Amino acid sequence: MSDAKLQKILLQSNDGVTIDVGKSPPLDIGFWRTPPSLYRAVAERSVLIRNMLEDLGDEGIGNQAIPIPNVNEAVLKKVIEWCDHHRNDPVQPADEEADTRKKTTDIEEWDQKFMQVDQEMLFEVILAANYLDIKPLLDVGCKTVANMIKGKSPEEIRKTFNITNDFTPEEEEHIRRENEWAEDR
Amino acid sequence: MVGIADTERAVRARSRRRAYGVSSQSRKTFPSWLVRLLGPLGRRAKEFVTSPDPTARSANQSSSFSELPVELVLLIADHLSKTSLICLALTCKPLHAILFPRPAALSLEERKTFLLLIEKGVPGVYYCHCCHKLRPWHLKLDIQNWLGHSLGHRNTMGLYYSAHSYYLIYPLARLVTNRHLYGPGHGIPIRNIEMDVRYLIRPLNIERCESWRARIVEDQLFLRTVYTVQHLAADTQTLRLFVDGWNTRVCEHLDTATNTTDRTANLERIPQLADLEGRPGFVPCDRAVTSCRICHTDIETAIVWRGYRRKGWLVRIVAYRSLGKCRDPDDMRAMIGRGLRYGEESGRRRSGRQGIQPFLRDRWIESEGGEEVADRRKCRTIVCEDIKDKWMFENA
Repeated sequence: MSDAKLQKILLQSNDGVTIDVGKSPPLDIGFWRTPPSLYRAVAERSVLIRNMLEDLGDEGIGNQAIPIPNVNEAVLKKVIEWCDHHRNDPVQPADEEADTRKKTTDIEEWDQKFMQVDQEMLFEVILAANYLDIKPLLDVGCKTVANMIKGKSPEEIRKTFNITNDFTPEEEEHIRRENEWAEDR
Repeated sequence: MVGIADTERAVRARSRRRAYGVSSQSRKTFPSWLVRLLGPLGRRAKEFVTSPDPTARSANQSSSFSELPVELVLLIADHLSKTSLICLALTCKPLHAILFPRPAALSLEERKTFLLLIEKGVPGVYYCHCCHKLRPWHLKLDIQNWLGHSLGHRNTMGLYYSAHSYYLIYPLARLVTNRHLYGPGHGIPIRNIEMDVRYLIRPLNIERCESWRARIVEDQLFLRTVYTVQHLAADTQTLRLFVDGWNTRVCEHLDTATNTTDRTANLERIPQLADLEGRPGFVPCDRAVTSCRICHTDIETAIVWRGYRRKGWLVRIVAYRSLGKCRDPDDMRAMIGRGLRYGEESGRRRSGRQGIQPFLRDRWIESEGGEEVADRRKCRTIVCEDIKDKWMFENA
Protein backbone atom coordinates (compact mmCIF):
# COMPACT_ATOMS: atom_id res chain seq x y z
CA MET A 1 0.00 0.00 0.00
CA SER A 2 2.85 2.36 0.82
CA ASP A 3 4.19 1.88 -2.68
CA ALA A 4 0.84 2.70 -4.07
CA LYS A 5 0.85 6.00 -2.26
CA LEU A 6 3.95 7.02 -4.12
CA GLN A 7 2.26 6.37 -7.36
CA LYS A 8 1.31 9.21 -9.62
CA ILE A 9 -2.29 9.79 -10.40
CA LEU A 10 -3.11 10.97 -13.87
CA LEU A 11 -6.41 12.50 -14.79
CA GLN A 12 -7.53 13.06 -18.34
CA SER A 13 -9.85 15.96 -19.08
CA ASN A 14 -12.47 15.80 -21.80
CA ASP A 15 -10.30 17.83 -24.17
CA GLY A 16 -7.70 15.10 -24.03
CA VAL A 17 -5.15 16.73 -21.74
CA THR A 18 -3.57 14.50 -19.16
CA ILE A 19 -2.96 16.19 -15.85
CA ASP A 20 -0.65 14.78 -13.22
CA VAL A 21 -2.23 15.47 -9.87
CA GLY A 22 1.26 15.97 -8.52
CA LYS A 23 2.31 18.27 -11.30
CA SER A 24 -0.52 20.64 -11.82
CA PRO A 25 0.74 24.22 -11.77
CA PRO A 26 -0.58 25.36 -8.40
CA LEU A 27 1.46 22.69 -6.70
CA ASP A 28 4.68 23.74 -8.36
CA ILE A 29 4.67 27.35 -7.29
CA GLY A 30 7.46 28.45 -4.94
CA PHE A 31 9.53 26.08 -2.91
CA TRP A 32 6.61 23.91 -1.93
CA ARG A 33 6.17 20.73 -3.80
CA THR A 34 3.56 18.27 -2.86
CA PRO A 35 5.25 15.10 -1.69
CA PRO A 36 4.10 12.09 -3.72
CA SER A 37 2.45 10.52 -0.70
CA LEU A 38 -0.07 13.29 -0.79
CA TYR A 39 -1.14 12.80 -4.36
CA ARG A 40 -3.65 10.33 -3.26
CA ALA A 41 -4.99 12.54 -0.49
CA VAL A 42 -5.54 15.26 -3.04
CA ALA A 43 -7.22 13.03 -5.57
CA GLU A 44 -9.33 11.40 -2.93
CA ARG A 45 -11.15 14.59 -2.10
CA SER A 46 -13.30 13.38 -4.91
CA VAL A 47 -15.53 10.52 -3.85
CA LEU A 48 -15.81 9.43 -7.44
CA ILE A 49 -12.04 9.09 -7.85
CA ARG A 50 -11.62 7.51 -4.44
CA ASN A 51 -14.15 4.81 -5.22
CA MET A 52 -12.55 4.26 -8.54
CA LEU A 53 -9.07 3.90 -7.07
CA GLU A 54 -10.32 1.49 -4.46
CA ASP A 55 -12.10 -0.48 -7.09
CA LEU A 56 -9.31 -0.64 -9.57
CA GLY A 57 -6.70 -1.44 -7.02
CA ASP A 58 -3.09 -0.36 -7.36
CA GLU A 59 -2.37 -2.48 -10.38
CA GLY A 60 -5.45 -1.23 -12.13
CA ILE A 61 -4.21 2.29 -12.19
CA GLY A 62 -0.84 1.59 -13.64
CA ASN A 63 0.27 4.49 -15.76
CA GLN A 64 -3.15 4.97 -17.22
CA ALA A 65 -4.86 8.30 -17.00
CA ILE A 66 -8.30 8.31 -15.45
CA PRO A 67 -10.65 9.99 -17.92
CA ILE A 68 -12.91 12.65 -16.52
CA PRO A 69 -15.26 13.09 -19.46
CA ASN A 70 -17.36 15.92 -18.04
CA VAL A 71 -14.57 18.32 -17.16
CA ASN A 72 -12.17 20.29 -19.31
CA GLU A 73 -8.56 21.04 -18.59
CA ALA A 74 -8.88 24.51 -17.07
CA VAL A 75 -11.67 23.45 -14.74
CA LEU A 76 -9.92 20.25 -13.76
CA LYS A 77 -6.79 22.19 -12.82
CA LYS A 78 -8.92 24.57 -10.78
CA VAL A 79 -10.57 21.67 -8.99
CA ILE A 80 -7.20 20.05 -8.27
CA GLU A 81 -5.98 23.36 -6.89
CA TRP A 82 -8.88 23.34 -4.47
CA CYS A 83 -8.35 19.71 -3.54
CA ASP A 84 -4.69 20.40 -2.88
CA HIS A 85 -5.45 23.25 -0.52
CA HIS A 86 -8.06 21.23 1.30
CA ARG A 87 -6.28 17.85 1.24
CA ASN A 88 -5.97 17.76 5.02
CA ASP A 89 -9.55 18.69 5.80
CA PRO A 90 -11.42 16.07 7.75
CA VAL A 91 -13.76 14.12 5.55
CA GLN A 92 -17.33 14.98 6.40
CA PRO A 93 -19.52 12.02 7.13
CA ALA A 94 -22.14 11.71 4.47
CA ASP A 95 -25.57 13.23 5.03
CA GLU A 96 -24.76 14.53 8.45
CA GLU A 97 -23.78 17.99 7.35
CA ALA A 98 -27.27 18.77 6.13
CA ASP A 99 -28.28 20.87 9.11
CA THR A 100 -25.06 22.73 9.75
CA ARG A 101 -24.26 23.89 6.26
CA LYS A 102 -27.71 25.02 5.26
CA LYS A 103 -28.77 28.65 5.56
CA THR A 104 -25.25 29.83 6.29
CA THR A 105 -23.40 31.52 3.51
CA ASP A 106 -20.11 32.14 5.25
CA ILE A 107 -17.20 31.17 3.10
CA GLU A 108 -13.70 30.98 4.39
CA GLU A 109 -11.28 33.52 3.01
CA TRP A 110 -9.19 31.24 0.81
CA ASP A 111 -12.29 29.78 -0.78
CA GLN A 112 -13.69 33.25 -1.41
CA LYS A 113 -10.55 34.18 -3.30
CA PHE A 114 -10.59 30.85 -5.06
CA MET A 115 -14.11 31.52 -6.27
CA GLN A 116 -13.31 34.94 -7.67
CA VAL A 117 -13.53 33.75 -11.25
CA ASP A 118 -15.83 34.52 -14.11
CA GLN A 119 -19.30 33.05 -13.99
CA GLU A 120 -18.71 30.43 -16.63
CA MET A 121 -15.79 29.05 -14.65
CA LEU A 122 -17.79 29.21 -11.45
CA PHE A 123 -20.61 27.11 -12.88
CA GLU A 124 -18.13 24.74 -14.51
CA VAL A 125 -16.48 24.22 -11.14
CA ILE A 126 -19.86 23.57 -9.54
CA LEU A 127 -20.76 21.07 -12.24
CA ALA A 128 -17.37 19.40 -11.94
CA ALA A 129 -17.66 19.23 -8.16
CA ASN A 130 -21.06 17.68 -8.56
CA TYR A 131 -19.79 15.18 -11.07
CA LEU A 132 -16.65 14.28 -9.16
CA ASP A 133 -18.67 14.22 -5.96
CA ILE A 134 -16.65 16.72 -3.96
CA LYS A 135 -19.26 17.82 -1.43
CA PRO A 136 -17.37 20.66 0.28
CA LEU A 137 -16.36 22.24 -3.03
CA LEU A 138 -19.90 21.93 -4.30
CA ASP A 139 -21.04 23.62 -1.13
CA VAL A 140 -18.62 26.50 -1.52
CA GLY A 141 -19.74 26.96 -5.10
CA CYS A 142 -23.42 26.98 -4.20
CA LYS A 143 -22.78 29.45 -1.40
CA THR A 144 -20.92 31.72 -3.77
CA VAL A 145 -23.85 31.70 -6.18
CA ALA A 146 -26.28 32.23 -3.29
CA ASN A 147 -24.29 35.27 -2.21
CA MET A 148 -24.55 36.64 -5.71
CA ILE A 149 -28.34 36.33 -5.54
CA LYS A 150 -28.75 37.73 -2.03
CA GLY A 151 -30.34 41.15 -1.73
CA LYS A 152 -31.01 41.46 -5.44
CA SER A 153 -34.30 42.14 -7.14
CA PRO A 154 -35.47 39.69 -9.82
CA GLU A 155 -34.39 42.16 -12.47
CA GLU A 156 -30.91 42.42 -10.99
CA ILE A 157 -30.64 38.65 -10.75
CA ARG A 158 -31.59 38.37 -14.42
CA LYS A 159 -28.88 40.84 -15.29
CA THR A 160 -26.31 39.10 -13.15
CA PHE A 161 -26.87 35.66 -14.61
CA ASN A 162 -28.06 36.69 -18.04
CA ILE A 163 -31.45 35.06 -17.61
CA THR A 164 -34.13 35.92 -20.13
CA ASN A 165 -37.41 37.00 -18.65
CA ASP A 166 -40.12 34.87 -20.24
CA PHE A 167 -42.96 36.26 -18.14
CA THR A 168 -45.27 38.66 -19.89
CA PRO A 169 -46.06 41.84 -17.92
CA GLU A 170 -49.60 40.51 -17.47
CA GLU A 171 -48.32 37.27 -15.98
CA GLU A 172 -46.03 39.17 -13.65
CA GLU A 173 -48.90 41.31 -12.50
CA HIS A 174 -51.07 38.26 -12.09
CA ILE A 175 -48.49 36.68 -9.80
CA ARG A 176 -48.25 39.86 -7.79
CA ARG A 177 -51.99 40.16 -7.40
CA GLU A 178 -52.52 36.50 -6.72
CA ASN A 179 -50.12 36.69 -3.81
CA GLU A 180 -51.58 39.96 -2.60
CA TRP A 181 -48.32 41.79 -3.10
CA ALA A 182 -49.93 44.48 -5.18
CA GLU A 183 -53.15 46.38 -5.16
CA ASP A 184 -55.57 46.07 -8.07
CA ARG A 185 -55.42 48.92 -10.47
CA MET B 1 -33.42 26.89 -20.05
CA VAL B 2 -32.82 23.64 -21.84
CA GLY B 3 -30.82 22.33 -18.93
CA ILE B 4 -33.68 22.40 -16.50
CA ALA B 5 -36.23 21.13 -18.95
CA ASP B 6 -34.55 17.90 -19.83
CA THR B 7 -32.35 17.42 -16.84
CA GLU B 8 -34.71 15.01 -15.24
CA ARG B 9 -33.48 12.33 -17.59
CA ALA B 10 -29.90 13.47 -17.50
CA VAL B 11 -29.86 13.49 -13.72
CA ARG B 12 -31.18 9.98 -13.58
CA ALA B 13 -28.64 8.84 -16.12
CA ARG B 14 -25.86 10.56 -14.24
CA SER B 15 -26.80 9.13 -10.89
CA ARG B 16 -27.00 5.70 -12.45
CA ARG B 17 -23.58 6.21 -13.86
CA ARG B 18 -22.34 7.34 -10.51
CA ALA B 19 -23.75 4.27 -8.84
CA TYR B 20 -21.83 2.12 -11.26
CA GLY B 21 -19.28 4.84 -11.60
CA VAL B 22 -16.23 2.65 -11.37
CA SER B 23 -17.25 0.19 -13.98
CA SER B 24 -18.42 2.87 -16.37
CA GLN B 25 -15.15 4.70 -15.93
CA SER B 26 -12.90 1.67 -16.25
CA ARG B 27 -14.87 0.74 -19.33
CA LYS B 28 -13.34 3.80 -20.91
CA THR B 29 -9.76 2.69 -20.45
CA PHE B 30 -9.25 0.12 -23.12
CA PRO B 31 -5.90 -1.58 -22.68
CA SER B 32 -3.57 -1.04 -25.62
CA TRP B 33 -2.29 -4.62 -25.62
CA LEU B 34 -5.83 -5.77 -26.30
CA VAL B 35 -6.03 -3.46 -29.30
CA ARG B 36 -2.81 -4.88 -30.65
CA LEU B 37 -4.02 -8.39 -30.07
CA LEU B 38 -7.32 -7.93 -31.81
CA GLY B 39 -6.06 -5.84 -34.74
CA PRO B 40 -8.66 -3.83 -36.71
CA LEU B 41 -11.44 -5.30 -34.67
CA GLY B 42 -9.67 -4.14 -31.53
CA ARG B 43 -9.40 -0.58 -32.83
CA ARG B 44 -13.11 -0.54 -33.55
CA ALA B 45 -13.81 -1.99 -30.14
CA LYS B 46 -11.67 0.69 -28.56
CA GLU B 47 -13.45 3.43 -30.48
CA PHE B 48 -16.75 2.04 -29.36
CA VAL B 49 -15.74 1.73 -25.76
CA THR B 50 -14.08 5.10 -25.44
CA SER B 51 -16.58 7.04 -27.53
CA PRO B 52 -17.82 10.10 -25.67
CA ASP B 53 -20.62 9.65 -23.23
CA PRO B 54 -23.75 11.21 -24.76
CA THR B 55 -24.59 12.97 -21.51
CA ALA B 56 -21.05 14.28 -21.07
CA ARG B 57 -20.55 17.96 -21.49
CA SER B 58 -18.55 18.94 -24.52
CA ALA B 59 -15.48 21.08 -24.05
CA ASN B 60 -16.77 24.20 -25.77
CA GLN B 61 -20.20 24.31 -24.16
CA SER B 62 -20.52 27.43 -22.07
CA SER B 63 -22.06 27.31 -18.63
CA SER B 64 -24.61 29.65 -17.22
CA PHE B 65 -27.10 29.68 -14.44
CA SER B 66 -29.95 28.64 -16.70
CA GLU B 67 -28.13 25.49 -17.71
CA LEU B 68 -27.61 24.17 -14.22
CA PRO B 69 -29.41 20.93 -13.51
CA VAL B 70 -32.37 21.05 -11.17
CA GLU B 71 -30.54 19.34 -8.32
CA LEU B 72 -27.90 22.06 -8.29
CA VAL B 73 -30.47 24.85 -8.47
CA LEU B 74 -32.13 23.31 -5.43
CA LEU B 75 -28.78 23.06 -3.66
CA ILE B 76 -28.19 26.75 -4.25
CA ALA B 77 -31.73 27.53 -3.13
CA ASP B 78 -30.94 25.83 0.18
CA HIS B 79 -28.60 28.69 0.98
CA LEU B 80 -31.08 31.45 0.15
CA SER B 81 -33.39 33.34 2.43
CA LYS B 82 -37.10 33.24 1.70
CA THR B 83 -37.09 36.65 0.08
CA SER B 84 -34.12 35.90 -2.15
CA LEU B 85 -35.71 32.60 -3.08
CA ILE B 86 -38.87 34.31 -4.28
CA CYS B 87 -36.83 36.88 -6.18
CA LEU B 88 -34.95 34.08 -7.91
CA ALA B 89 -38.20 32.28 -8.67
CA LEU B 90 -39.60 35.39 -10.29
CA THR B 91 -36.79 35.70 -12.82
CA CYS B 92 -38.18 33.21 -15.31
CA LYS B 93 -40.84 30.54 -15.70
CA PRO B 94 -38.71 27.39 -15.34
CA LEU B 95 -37.20 28.66 -12.10
CA HIS B 96 -40.65 29.67 -10.92
CA ALA B 97 -41.83 26.14 -11.61
CA ILE B 98 -38.92 24.55 -9.75
CA LEU B 99 -38.70 26.80 -6.73
CA PHE B 100 -42.41 27.45 -6.26
CA PRO B 101 -42.37 30.23 -3.68
CA ARG B 102 -44.83 30.15 -0.87
CA PRO B 103 -45.38 33.79 -0.05
CA ALA B 104 -47.89 33.13 2.69
CA ALA B 105 -44.99 32.03 4.85
CA LEU B 106 -43.32 35.44 4.69
CA SER B 107 -43.21 37.43 7.89
CA LEU B 108 -44.05 41.11 7.76
CA GLU B 109 -40.40 42.12 7.82
CA GLU B 110 -39.54 39.67 5.04
CA ARG B 111 -42.51 40.84 3.06
CA LYS B 112 -41.28 44.40 3.35
CA THR B 113 -37.75 43.53 2.26
CA PHE B 114 -39.12 41.53 -0.62
CA LEU B 115 -41.60 44.10 -1.87
CA LEU B 116 -39.00 46.86 -1.61
CA LEU B 117 -36.84 44.77 -3.95
CA ILE B 118 -39.74 44.27 -6.33
CA GLU B 119 -40.53 47.99 -6.27
CA LYS B 120 -37.12 48.66 -7.80
CA GLY B 121 -37.88 46.58 -10.86
CA VAL B 122 -41.51 47.37 -11.54
CA PRO B 123 -42.31 50.79 -12.92
CA GLY B 124 -45.62 52.39 -12.02
CA VAL B 125 -45.88 51.12 -8.48
CA TYR B 126 -44.59 52.19 -5.10
CA TYR B 127 -44.44 50.39 -1.82
CA CYS B 128 -46.95 51.52 0.77
CA HIS B 129 -45.48 51.20 4.24
CA CYS B 130 -48.90 51.05 5.79
CA CYS B 131 -50.74 48.32 3.93
CA HIS B 132 -47.50 46.53 2.91
CA LYS B 133 -48.45 46.32 -0.71
CA LEU B 134 -47.34 47.75 -4.00
CA ARG B 135 -49.66 50.48 -5.12
CA PRO B 136 -50.05 52.09 -8.50
CA TRP B 137 -49.43 55.79 -8.95
CA HIS B 138 -49.85 58.16 -11.86
CA LEU B 139 -47.92 61.11 -13.14
CA LYS B 140 -50.64 63.60 -12.34
CA LEU B 141 -49.92 63.21 -8.67
CA ASP B 142 -48.62 66.37 -7.15
CA ILE B 143 -48.70 68.35 -4.01
CA GLN B 144 -52.00 70.00 -4.96
CA ASN B 145 -54.04 66.92 -5.67
CA TRP B 146 -52.96 63.96 -3.67
CA LEU B 147 -56.14 61.97 -3.68
CA GLY B 148 -54.43 58.68 -3.11
CA HIS B 149 -55.55 56.12 -0.65
CA SER B 150 -52.80 57.10 1.75
CA LEU B 151 -54.90 59.85 3.23
CA GLY B 152 -56.69 57.07 5.02
CA HIS B 153 -53.46 55.75 6.50
CA ARG B 154 -52.84 57.73 9.61
CA ASN B 155 -49.83 55.89 10.91
CA THR B 156 -47.33 56.03 8.14
CA MET B 157 -47.91 59.33 6.46
CA GLY B 158 -45.13 61.22 8.13
CA LEU B 159 -46.97 64.31 7.15
CA TYR B 160 -44.94 67.42 6.64
CA TYR B 161 -46.91 70.56 6.55
CA SER B 162 -46.74 74.29 6.62
CA ALA B 163 -49.33 76.54 8.18
CA HIS B 164 -52.02 75.53 5.80
CA SER B 165 -50.98 75.73 2.21
CA TYR B 166 -48.42 72.99 1.80
CA TYR B 167 -48.20 69.48 3.01
CA LEU B 168 -45.98 66.74 1.80
CA ILE B 169 -47.23 63.26 2.48
CA TYR B 170 -44.61 60.55 2.80
CA PRO B 171 -45.64 58.58 -0.34
CA LEU B 172 -45.05 61.67 -2.48
CA ALA B 173 -41.60 62.15 -1.00
CA ARG B 174 -40.95 58.47 -1.64
CA LEU B 175 -42.07 58.73 -5.25
CA VAL B 176 -39.77 61.68 -5.85
CA THR B 177 -36.77 59.88 -4.40
CA ASN B 178 -37.73 56.66 -6.20
CA ARG B 179 -37.55 58.53 -9.48
CA HIS B 180 -34.15 59.83 -8.53
CA LEU B 181 -32.88 56.39 -7.55
CA TYR B 182 -34.58 54.03 -10.00
CA GLY B 183 -35.40 56.14 -13.03
CA PRO B 184 -38.26 58.09 -14.58
CA GLY B 185 -40.68 55.15 -14.65
CA HIS B 186 -40.55 54.85 -10.91
CA GLY B 187 -41.79 58.13 -9.58
CA ILE B 188 -43.04 61.62 -10.06
CA PRO B 189 -40.86 64.53 -11.18
CA ILE B 190 -39.53 66.72 -8.45
CA ARG B 191 -41.45 69.73 -9.70
CA ASN B 192 -44.67 67.97 -8.72
CA ILE B 193 -43.93 68.67 -5.11
CA GLU B 194 -42.97 72.28 -5.72
CA MET B 195 -45.45 75.07 -5.33
CA ASP B 196 -45.88 78.81 -5.41
CA VAL B 197 -48.62 80.54 -3.53
CA ARG B 198 -49.34 84.20 -3.27
CA TYR B 199 -51.88 85.43 -0.79
CA LEU B 200 -53.19 88.89 -1.00
CA ILE B 201 -54.99 89.83 2.17
CA ARG B 202 -57.31 92.61 1.10
CA PRO B 203 -58.49 93.94 4.48
CA LEU B 204 -54.93 94.47 5.64
CA ASN B 205 -53.45 95.17 2.23
CA ILE B 206 -50.73 92.66 2.92
CA GLU B 207 -49.06 90.39 0.42
CA ARG B 208 -47.66 87.14 1.61
CA CYS B 209 -45.85 84.70 -0.72
CA GLU B 210 -44.65 81.19 -0.26
CA SER B 211 -42.49 79.45 -2.71
CA TRP B 212 -41.59 75.81 -2.17
CA ARG B 213 -38.69 74.24 -3.98
CA ALA B 214 -37.35 70.74 -3.74
CA ARG B 215 -34.02 69.31 -4.72
CA ILE B 216 -32.14 66.11 -4.21
CA VAL B 217 -28.71 66.65 -2.74
CA GLU B 218 -26.60 63.56 -2.15
CA ASP B 219 -29.70 61.32 -2.36
CA GLN B 220 -31.44 63.37 0.28
CA LEU B 221 -34.59 65.30 -0.38
CA PHE B 222 -34.18 68.98 0.45
CA LEU B 223 -37.03 71.46 0.68
CA ARG B 224 -36.54 75.18 0.57
CA THR B 225 -39.32 77.61 1.30
CA VAL B 226 -39.18 81.33 0.81
CA TYR B 227 -41.78 83.21 2.80
CA THR B 228 -42.08 86.90 2.06
CA VAL B 229 -44.43 89.34 3.76
CA GLN B 230 -44.90 92.97 2.93
CA HIS B 231 -47.50 95.69 3.30
CA LEU B 232 -48.39 97.02 -0.07
CA ALA B 233 -48.80 100.55 1.23
CA ALA B 234 -45.72 100.44 3.48
CA ASP B 235 -47.73 100.58 6.70
CA THR B 236 -45.30 99.39 9.35
CA GLN B 237 -47.85 99.06 12.13
CA THR B 238 -50.19 96.77 10.20
CA LEU B 239 -47.28 94.66 9.03
CA ARG B 240 -46.06 94.35 12.61
CA LEU B 241 -49.53 93.31 13.71
CA PHE B 242 -49.72 90.78 10.95
CA VAL B 243 -46.31 89.26 11.63
CA ASP B 244 -47.08 88.91 15.32
CA GLY B 245 -50.22 87.00 14.59
CA TRP B 246 -48.92 85.15 11.59
CA ASN B 247 -48.84 81.54 12.58
CA THR B 248 -46.44 79.83 10.28
CA ARG B 249 -44.54 76.94 11.59
CA VAL B 250 -41.36 77.11 9.66
CA CYS B 251 -40.51 73.78 11.14
CA GLU B 252 -42.07 71.76 13.88
CA HIS B 253 -40.23 73.77 16.47
CA LEU B 254 -39.95 77.32 15.18
CA ASP B 255 -42.82 79.64 14.57
CA THR B 256 -43.30 83.20 13.49
CA ALA B 257 -46.04 84.37 15.85
CA THR B 258 -45.48 85.89 19.29
CA ASN B 259 -47.82 83.75 21.24
CA THR B 260 -46.30 80.47 20.23
CA THR B 261 -43.69 80.14 22.93
CA ASP B 262 -46.17 79.73 25.73
CA ARG B 263 -48.57 77.61 23.74
CA THR B 264 -46.53 74.45 23.84
CA ALA B 265 -43.18 73.75 25.27
CA ASN B 266 -41.51 72.65 22.06
CA LEU B 267 -42.17 75.77 20.03
CA GLU B 268 -39.96 78.80 19.84
CA ARG B 269 -40.22 82.03 18.00
CA ILE B 270 -37.70 82.94 15.33
CA PRO B 271 -35.51 85.34 17.31
CA GLN B 272 -35.03 87.84 14.52
CA LEU B 273 -38.73 88.66 14.50
CA ALA B 274 -38.67 90.17 18.01
CA ASP B 275 -40.09 93.69 18.20
CA LEU B 276 -38.46 96.90 19.42
CA GLU B 277 -39.65 96.80 23.03
CA GLY B 278 -43.19 97.90 22.42
CA ARG B 279 -42.58 100.31 19.59
CA PRO B 280 -43.91 99.19 16.23
CA GLY B 281 -41.18 98.35 13.80
CA PHE B 282 -38.55 95.79 13.05
CA VAL B 283 -34.94 95.17 13.80
CA PRO B 284 -33.32 95.07 10.41
CA CYS B 285 -31.17 92.10 9.66
CA ASP B 286 -29.54 90.66 6.62
CA ARG B 287 -29.76 86.94 6.15
CA ALA B 288 -29.29 86.05 9.76
CA VAL B 289 -29.15 82.30 10.17
CA THR B 290 -30.93 80.34 12.83
CA SER B 291 -30.79 76.59 12.98
CA CYS B 292 -33.45 74.53 14.62
CA ARG B 293 -32.01 72.84 17.64
CA ILE B 294 -34.06 69.74 17.12
CA CYS B 295 -34.75 69.00 13.50
CA HIS B 296 -32.91 69.41 10.25
CA THR B 297 -33.95 72.93 9.41
CA ASP B 298 -31.94 76.09 8.82
CA ILE B 299 -33.69 79.43 8.69
CA GLU B 300 -32.34 82.54 7.07
CA THR B 301 -34.15 85.71 7.99
CA ALA B 302 -33.87 89.03 6.21
CA ILE B 303 -35.78 92.09 7.37
CA VAL B 304 -35.02 95.06 5.18
CA TRP B 305 -36.36 98.56 4.73
CA ARG B 306 -36.78 99.25 1.07
CA GLY B 307 -36.52 102.92 0.54
CA TYR B 308 -36.51 103.48 -3.14
CA ARG B 309 -39.77 102.55 -4.86
CA ARG B 310 -41.93 100.28 -2.79
CA LYS B 311 -41.30 101.74 0.55
CA GLY B 312 -41.71 99.80 3.73
CA TRP B 313 -40.43 96.71 5.42
CA LEU B 314 -40.02 93.39 3.77
CA VAL B 315 -39.77 90.29 5.87
CA ARG B 316 -38.21 87.39 4.08
CA ILE B 317 -37.70 84.03 5.72
CA VAL B 318 -35.98 81.22 3.89
CA ALA B 319 -36.17 77.77 5.39
CA TYR B 320 -33.90 74.97 4.27
CA ARG B 321 -34.94 71.51 5.33
CA SER B 322 -33.62 68.06 4.80
CA LEU B 323 -36.15 65.26 4.75
CA GLY B 324 -33.47 62.61 4.51
CA LYS B 325 -33.44 59.82 2.00
CA CYS B 326 -37.17 59.19 2.39
CA ARG B 327 -36.71 55.42 2.38
CA ASP B 328 -38.91 54.96 5.41
CA PRO B 329 -41.67 57.07 6.97
CA ASP B 330 -40.01 56.75 10.35
CA ASP B 331 -36.76 58.16 8.98
CA MET B 332 -38.61 61.11 7.56
CA ARG B 333 -40.43 61.65 10.79
CA ALA B 334 -37.13 61.65 12.64
CA MET B 335 -35.67 64.15 10.19
CA ILE B 336 -38.47 66.63 10.68
CA GLY B 337 -38.36 66.00 14.40
CA ARG B 338 -42.03 65.31 14.78
CA GLY B 339 -43.04 64.99 18.37
CA LEU B 340 -39.57 65.80 19.66
CA ARG B 341 -39.20 68.43 22.36
CA TYR B 342 -36.20 70.40 23.45
CA GLY B 343 -34.01 68.26 25.58
CA GLU B 344 -34.86 65.07 23.76
CA GLU B 345 -32.47 63.18 21.59
CA SER B 346 -32.41 63.71 17.88
CA GLY B 347 -29.94 63.57 15.05
CA ARG B 348 -29.17 67.24 15.13
CA ARG B 349 -28.83 68.04 18.79
CA ARG B 350 -25.79 69.92 19.91
CA SER B 351 -25.06 71.60 23.20
CA GLY B 352 -26.42 74.97 22.16
CA ARG B 353 -27.46 77.05 19.25
CA GLN B 354 -23.88 78.14 18.58
CA GLY B 355 -22.83 74.57 18.09
CA ILE B 356 -24.99 74.01 15.02
CA GLN B 357 -23.55 74.88 11.68
CA PRO B 358 -26.05 75.87 8.99
CA PHE B 359 -24.80 73.06 6.79
CA LEU B 360 -28.20 72.47 5.23
CA ARG B 361 -28.26 75.95 3.76
CA ASP B 362 -24.68 75.58 2.57
CA ARG B 363 -25.40 72.28 0.89
CA TRP B 364 -28.43 73.67 -0.87
CA ILE B 365 -26.47 76.66 -2.11
CA GLU B 366 -23.56 74.48 -3.21
CA SER B 367 -25.91 72.34 -5.27
CA GLU B 368 -27.42 75.41 -6.94
CA GLY B 369 -27.54 74.96 -10.68
CA GLY B 370 -28.13 71.24 -10.36
CA GLU B 371 -30.22 69.25 -12.75
CA GLU B 372 -33.57 70.10 -11.16
CA VAL B 373 -33.49 73.78 -11.97
CA ALA B 374 -34.95 73.58 -15.46
CA ASP B 375 -38.68 73.19 -14.91
CA ARG B 376 -39.21 75.77 -12.23
CA ARG B 377 -41.57 77.93 -14.22
CA LYS B 378 -44.12 75.16 -14.58
CA CYS B 379 -45.03 75.45 -10.92
CA ARG B 380 -48.53 76.64 -10.38
CA THR B 381 -49.25 79.96 -8.82
CA ILE B 382 -52.39 80.26 -6.81
CA VAL B 383 -53.56 83.75 -6.23
CA CYS B 384 -55.82 84.08 -3.28
CA GLU B 385 -57.72 87.26 -2.85
CA ASP B 386 -59.73 88.27 0.13
CA ILE B 387 -58.98 85.42 2.46
CA LYS B 388 -60.86 85.59 5.73
CA ASP B 389 -59.32 82.39 6.89
CA LYS B 390 -58.82 82.19 10.60
CA TRP B 391 -55.48 80.56 9.91
CA MET B 392 -54.37 83.71 8.30
CA PHE B 393 -54.74 86.19 11.05
CA GLU B 394 -55.90 84.72 14.23
CA ASN B 395 -54.74 87.70 16.22
CA ALA B 396 -54.69 90.49 13.72
